[in-house]
Amino acid sequence: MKDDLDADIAEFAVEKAREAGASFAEARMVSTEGSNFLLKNGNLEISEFNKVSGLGLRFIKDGAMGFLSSNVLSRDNLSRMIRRTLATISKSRINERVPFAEGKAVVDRYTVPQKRNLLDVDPAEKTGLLFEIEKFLASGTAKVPGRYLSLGDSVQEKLLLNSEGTRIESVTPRASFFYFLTIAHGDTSVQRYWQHGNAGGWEFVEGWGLPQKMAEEASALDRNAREGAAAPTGKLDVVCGPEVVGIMVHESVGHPYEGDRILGREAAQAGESFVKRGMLNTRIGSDVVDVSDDPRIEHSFAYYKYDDEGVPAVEKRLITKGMIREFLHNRSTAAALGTVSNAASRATDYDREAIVRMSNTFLKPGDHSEQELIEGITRGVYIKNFTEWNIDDRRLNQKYVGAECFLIENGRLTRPVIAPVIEIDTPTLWGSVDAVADNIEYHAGTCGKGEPMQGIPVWFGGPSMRLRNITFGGGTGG
Amino acid sequence: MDDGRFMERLMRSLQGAGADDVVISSINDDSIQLKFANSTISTTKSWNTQDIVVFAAVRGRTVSTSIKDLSEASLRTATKRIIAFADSLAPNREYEGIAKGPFSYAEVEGCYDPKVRSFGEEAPLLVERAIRAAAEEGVARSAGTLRASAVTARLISSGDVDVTEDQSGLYFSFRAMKDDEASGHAISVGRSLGGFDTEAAATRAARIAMMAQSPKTIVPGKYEVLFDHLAIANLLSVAGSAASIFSVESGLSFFKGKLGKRVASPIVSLYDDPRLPGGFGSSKFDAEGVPTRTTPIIEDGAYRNYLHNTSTAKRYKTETTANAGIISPSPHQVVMSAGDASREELIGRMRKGIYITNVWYTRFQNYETGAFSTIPRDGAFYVEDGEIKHPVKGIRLSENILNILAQVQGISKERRQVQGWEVDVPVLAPLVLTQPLNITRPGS
Repeated sequence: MKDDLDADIAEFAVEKAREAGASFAEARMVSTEGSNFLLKNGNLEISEFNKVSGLGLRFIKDGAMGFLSSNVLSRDNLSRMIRRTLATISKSRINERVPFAEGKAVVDRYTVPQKRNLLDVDPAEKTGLLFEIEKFLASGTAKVPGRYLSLGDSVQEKLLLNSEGTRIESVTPRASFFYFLTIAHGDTSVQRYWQHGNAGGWEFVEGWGLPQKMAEEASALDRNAREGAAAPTGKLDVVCGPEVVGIMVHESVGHPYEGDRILGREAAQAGESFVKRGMLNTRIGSDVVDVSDDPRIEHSFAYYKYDDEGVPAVEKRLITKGMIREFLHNRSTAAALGTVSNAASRATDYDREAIVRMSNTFLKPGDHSEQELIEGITRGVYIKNFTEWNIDDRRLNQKYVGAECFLIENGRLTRPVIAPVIEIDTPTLWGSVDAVADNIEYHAGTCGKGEPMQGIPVWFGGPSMRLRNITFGGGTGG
Repeated sequence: MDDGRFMERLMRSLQGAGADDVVISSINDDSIQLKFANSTISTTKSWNTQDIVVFAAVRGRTVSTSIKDLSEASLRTATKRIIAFADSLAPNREYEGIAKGPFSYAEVEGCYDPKVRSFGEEAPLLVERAIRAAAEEGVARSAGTLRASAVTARLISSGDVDVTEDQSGLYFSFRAMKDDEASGHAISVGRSLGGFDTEAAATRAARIAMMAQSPKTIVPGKYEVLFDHLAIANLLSVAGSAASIFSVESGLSFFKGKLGKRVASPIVSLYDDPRLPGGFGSSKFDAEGVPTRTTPIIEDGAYRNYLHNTSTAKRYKTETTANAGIISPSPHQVVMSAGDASREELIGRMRKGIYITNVWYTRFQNYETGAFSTIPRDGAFYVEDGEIKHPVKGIRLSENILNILAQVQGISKERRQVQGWEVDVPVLAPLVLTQPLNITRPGS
């Protein structure tokens, strides 16, 4: 543990809160070091390195929850902040008596291994990769006037202490790459953005194969725009590729199964949920639909061994055989709903309260090949990936616009189609799945929730899946 | 050492080590937030942060970093590290330097209320009153946040700039729910306690929620749309960001190639106005220390200016609009000119339309063409022959933002400050009525 994470200060904060009458106190000290680069249209515009650290303290006093954070870690300042927060709490007559499930003390430390430490890779090598991608994009067949390429890395050290005896130290390196491409097509353009991310060292960045992959994607989207037929409308069968399945799972399964949404605790910001506590063990999809959330996937973007309340990570089986089986919980939502936490409590940094979050959320693979799914369709659409999407705040009404897409005619992919639109409600979506392939992929994203906003690393994914009799149409805004 | 002295010494140290341009800013932020849900306060939060952010240009390479440790050793390490980091980079070919001062600054009125610094203990009472006001309207539960912050910002640069500003901020977001399908949202945003009215916001939200009960589905198609303050602010915030020359160059702007051209109905004028008294995004200087000014983005329907910093302005042979971000210019505060209609008059003009009180999840299919969709959230109402007939549910606005701007046919006199979850750039927003737009829904 480096000097940035001063265990004495964390212990002082917990002790001070306890002295002030808190029945529970928990300190999270976090130090994050990393760099970010942006190559915009071939020019290196942003190059930054940062190291930030501080402490977040959460406590329960007379049933009310308090949270404070600072990067000014003097004892005087922390004492002042504890007094201030408690004084505000004491003036309220309408504090929630926050339920809080019993905790078990955990003492552990872990480090996500890196073959090449992200902090040891020279900035010249990091930016060199962006210039290499630039070269590949320039040498391809597609005209790509807009090239926004962003590479970021961080190593986050964390110390979690609480008044129940938990003490967990962790080191988690993460690398991510975000791109936004504008591909010229006559007088107009097509655009696409996506992200890659892993917890681990530079070896993962190299493993993404970005230069080749980016050039291939630009070329595919260019072909789609040049040769694509108008999007079909009406009722058709569809095969969604892993990227599309991933976003569908994230938006219409992961989010509505968050315990805090179900309880109304995020109502003013991220919204509530169409899922109610009484919907456990009820049907939401066909019996080939199995969805899990699992932070334990090694080197996944959302990897953690313990959540930010010190609860050991487990697989959450949200849907099994089409039935709703489990929600995402922290200690508070678990207590409110009469269960135990399944370790879904996460915060982006020391200055944010841990709330219920997804980690790696995915549709579980079936035993078909993707080819078999396509062969089973007389007339339909294959949607490999997507551009615009959105969903209402109860997670029922969603829209996905395809990016690289093909018509399926008599069991074969024939020609590209431009921007097919699916606008569908959640039960219809998951109830229409009749087959799931075995080609599981995971994709990286940054999921937004909370106020102040917390953009947290996640994976979403799955294999290709086939849906029957889906309505295509709606509007694309031209 | 204290942060002011550290900043000054780091400036000299970096210049001595070969940095051509240096900008160092400090922000000290003291904030509290009450988060409430199910009509109770669920978390009481408090922040105290001190940040020092450094930008340096070294032989055409540009570097940014933040510093927390204000020790003598840190000063030496930071200097060495910034120069070494710059040495390992390719030049930023488009960087053209920072502003040269000194400047004189006119304060923006109403941006600092010292009472906000010691406001914390009064906050629960304001939340309680707001929840009670909403309950009296008949709603079942309420949720939201109240945040109060006091910030001191100082900026020094190698361009002979040294400027300090105190700012306070109050933000109250209130969502009232009658049932799962009937909700309303309203906010109160400001800089000082005077005029910060949590009860009024709660009452507005609650009345929308009560009106939104028993929503019906409608046939998708073309409908006139009346956007309430929150709904139009969501789109205008995006439009403000699209005015940045950085967005134009990045493929993130539907205003690309529109300079001098008609982009909106002649009754639409849009400004970046950091000089708005009491404005949530108002400030007397930008991130280079250039004194702020009001910049027309759209005037009488014609596109007037992209937002620039010193460097981008030089590249485009124009003047900075005082919108640094040193690398990426950004709007301070979007202001739409007021019209002359009341809400009732605008509703009265509608033949067949939808009155949308809020939207969320605005996502673009193509930022350059402006194709996007957004989802009405909270009360939305079908209007026929000038009268609200019934609430509607399950709809989506699938449109093009340039078409929406072109179709504006009415603007209210009343405007409100809006900032929030999806409204990154604060907006002074009226109500806006458009000609028919494309409304879709699942299965349509």
